[in-house]
Amino acid sequence: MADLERHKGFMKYALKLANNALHNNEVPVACVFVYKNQVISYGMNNTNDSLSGITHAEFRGINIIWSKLQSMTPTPGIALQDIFKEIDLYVTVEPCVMCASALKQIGIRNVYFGCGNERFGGNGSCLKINQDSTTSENNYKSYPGIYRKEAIILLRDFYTHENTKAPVPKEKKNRILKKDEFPPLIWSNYINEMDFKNFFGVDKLWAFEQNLDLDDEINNDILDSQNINIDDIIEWSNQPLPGLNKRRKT
Amino acid sequence: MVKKINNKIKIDYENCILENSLLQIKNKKNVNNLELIEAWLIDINPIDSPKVLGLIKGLSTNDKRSLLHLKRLQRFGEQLTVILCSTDYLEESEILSSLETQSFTYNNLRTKKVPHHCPGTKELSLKWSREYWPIIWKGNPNDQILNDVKLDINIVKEHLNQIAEESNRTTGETLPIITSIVDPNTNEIVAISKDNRASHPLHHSVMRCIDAVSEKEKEKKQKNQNYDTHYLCNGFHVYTTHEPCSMCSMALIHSRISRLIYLTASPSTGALDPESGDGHTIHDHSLLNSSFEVWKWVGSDHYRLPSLKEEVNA
Repeated sequence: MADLERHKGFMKYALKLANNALHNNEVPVACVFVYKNQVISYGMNNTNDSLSGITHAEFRGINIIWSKLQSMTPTPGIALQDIFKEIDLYVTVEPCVMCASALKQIGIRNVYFGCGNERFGGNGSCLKINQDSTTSENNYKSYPGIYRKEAIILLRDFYTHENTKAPVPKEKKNRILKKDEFPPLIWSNYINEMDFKNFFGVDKLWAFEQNLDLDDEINNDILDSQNINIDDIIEWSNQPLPGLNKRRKT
Repeated sequence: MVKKINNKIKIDYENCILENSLLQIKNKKNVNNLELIEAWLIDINPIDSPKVLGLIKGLSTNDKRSLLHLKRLQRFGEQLTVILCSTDYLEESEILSSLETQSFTYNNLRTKKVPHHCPGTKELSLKWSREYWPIIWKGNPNDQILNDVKLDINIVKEHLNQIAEESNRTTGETLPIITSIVDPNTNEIVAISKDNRASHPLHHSVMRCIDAVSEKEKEKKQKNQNYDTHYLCNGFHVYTTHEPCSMCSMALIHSRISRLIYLTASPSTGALDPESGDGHTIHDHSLLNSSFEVWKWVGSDHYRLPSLKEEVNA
């Protein structure tokens, strides 16, 4: 629970990426993957540019890690993929059913997210793929509510503009960006009370019980249109994984 | 819409099987569960009903929530109450502006919760009609769904044959899972893909096939800037050897396919058949934002496939 600030620190990177995506006319959903306390990979939604409905942030992040693993010397007796058991994901929006399943199949450790995804969330909003009985040896815990309002505002900002790629674009002229009203956060859709207490601390239990956010204030620095430089995150993603040897070329 | 009696396709309404070969896979649990959606209502003068019906016709072409199972007009004293469209389709400002342009007068624009679909029995239909809004009962609505399916069984067999053959040709580490994506307007195969998880754990055949479709579109766009790209896999049909896992099933929802046909169930890991895995029926789930038809091959032509371990996510 003393770690909450550390988790928020990683989520800030994910939000910066989402803000960057927003300014590139993509759905503002983004993520970072963290291994041994370091950002090792990132992803942003790219469904418009790629002409594909499945190029979600999580997949792009996994692909970066996977190509890094290809260039590593495997430790004898340990499968490459086992490294995911020590990797956490910070994503601005709850993973969709597809990504929730992908994260499970790849064996992620934990997932931390901002807001839920009521249209196709796979960690509790629509289905609970992370806790179902398929490939259950890889079930993982998923913690919502980390900078939730900021994640929602970025999405609202995007959806006040039209998605001209849809077959029948919906006119959204009259929509305005609301920054003061938020739906309740139904924590129990995503985690049980015990897990909440263990992670956020018993002093925050009021939030769980009353379906409230942890913070009242909105961090406007995160949402600032200047806050879109992601060079540091890209640089970290280009580095080899910490503590593993690069494969010698023979 | 074809009349039942004129339909050339052989339909077993009771068991939901087409042409003795394709079993409808759907969420059997929810037909008789009441779900409500919100719709816009107005009161009008009966004399204006032709004009109002004209407006409704226009609205219902773009309204994703079908309201065809509901009576549109109901008389209350001197006035008619009319359902215009769902509130998911138009917001208040939008419905107001489309009413503004009409040449009839109306009163009391409001919302009302109405049944989302017609139930499977006449008794329930009458009950929901009394409690919410009159439903038009024309028999079990699934009969109409079955009757409306457009299908050429010989074309289906061709595509199934091809993926089964490809499946039997796989060697070494490659799993015998094959998927093809077909444009039903031309019956051309847009893409056909093998499983490739030996080199990447998430490269299932369905995922690779969806990627192949978008790669093709990107190439065409690069060659010709004026090329009008197909929206994702909108309306395409998918043929696959094994019932897909939850990742692949949801990827197909995101890709907006309209139909999936598979050869073999995946009893532990499948995400479509209510009897498979966790029974998610992802293609037919009321909380997810889109849906597609699913059929499982049960015909007498037997497509033999190499064996696959039950715990594999296909």
